[in-house]
Amino acid sequence: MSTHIVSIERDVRPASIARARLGELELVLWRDNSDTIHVWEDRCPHRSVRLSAGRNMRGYLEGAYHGWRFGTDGTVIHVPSEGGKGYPDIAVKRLNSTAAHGFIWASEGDLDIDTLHGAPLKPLHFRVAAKIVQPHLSDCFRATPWGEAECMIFGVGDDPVSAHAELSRLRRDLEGAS
Amino acid sequence: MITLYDYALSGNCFKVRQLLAWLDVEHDLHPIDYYPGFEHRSDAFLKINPLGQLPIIDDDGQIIRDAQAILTYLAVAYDPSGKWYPRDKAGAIQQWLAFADGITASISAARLHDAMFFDVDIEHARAAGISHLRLLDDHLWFAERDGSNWLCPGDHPSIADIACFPYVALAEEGGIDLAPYGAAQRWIEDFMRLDGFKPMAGMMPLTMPRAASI
Repeated sequence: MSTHIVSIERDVRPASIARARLGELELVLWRDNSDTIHVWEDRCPHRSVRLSAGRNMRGYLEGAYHGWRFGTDGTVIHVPSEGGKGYPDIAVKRLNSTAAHGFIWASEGDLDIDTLHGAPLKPLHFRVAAKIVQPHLSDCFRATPWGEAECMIFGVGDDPVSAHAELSRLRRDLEGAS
Repeated sequence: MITLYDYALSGNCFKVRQLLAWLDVEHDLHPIDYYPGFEHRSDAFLKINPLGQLPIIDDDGQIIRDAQAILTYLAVAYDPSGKWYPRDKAGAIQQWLAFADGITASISAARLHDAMFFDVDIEHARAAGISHLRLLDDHLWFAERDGSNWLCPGDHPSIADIACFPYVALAEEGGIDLAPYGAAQRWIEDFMRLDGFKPMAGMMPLTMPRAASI
């Protein structure tokens, strides 16, 4: 899957955890103590519990279930039940990602950043597939697939309140028609 | 002395427990076996609340039912600071208290269906729950832009936040995914970080280091 927006940059807060999706992949987003934002699959390689149920300790992400710690490179740096031993050969699935134009862009392959200038609008979740919404959007918007039949719409604009109202109206129309 | 007729897994009872804790009001808990005992449908309970609903409080003989009514009563009677129910925001507060009833009728109903096997139109409950989450998430996103983390503008949460919080935080127990609602998730996180937060089962407040910039 190509490069998509997965979040507004400022919505990934320090010492906090955010969730997103990119197609079938559930994602966890976290900002570390050097202000780098990481985009990982939201699944612990040990017991598959959501990593987003854990905590952002700023230098590492800690799983909620058995307390495994994942360093900024995604590898296991500490397993409590093994006396704090690290396992550099076990890692979460990491996506390539970068911050640009106020958004976080991510890809399972190479990053190919688009331009999108302006103030980010409130992202809106549609219970309609991206390919159905896309033809109705101007070039101020980008659709990120969210599972097979849903999508998240990110956009920019000068008037966030009326842009939001217009996008909500489109959503009502498209969800009502599906 | 206040007695709260309480069920540990009830979000509506959570609201009252939490406000009593934050107001530091002395009280007794009278546990009711809602599930699987269905004690709220017993003759003895129906004498106290003919609606068969929790929570109820008994404040020196005055019986008050309905979570939102109790929140308002407690804030008016026991919070001289007025910060939990700022009177200059009464319109907004009352609006969110009514909205909390809609959350109970939708998200909470979906949770009762999934977790306690109640007879509920689950598709309808989840769809109505999503409508409520969307409205809440939109409101909170624009509130954040205006510098507030709470439902009513200001630095301090109010009974509006307490009323709307538990069933939103527990939505996934009713099969409603919270991932699409980023602003609502940040609000849940902020609520769980408040000093004196008393979680119920299903809420996981893990202490995170505070951000240097906050």
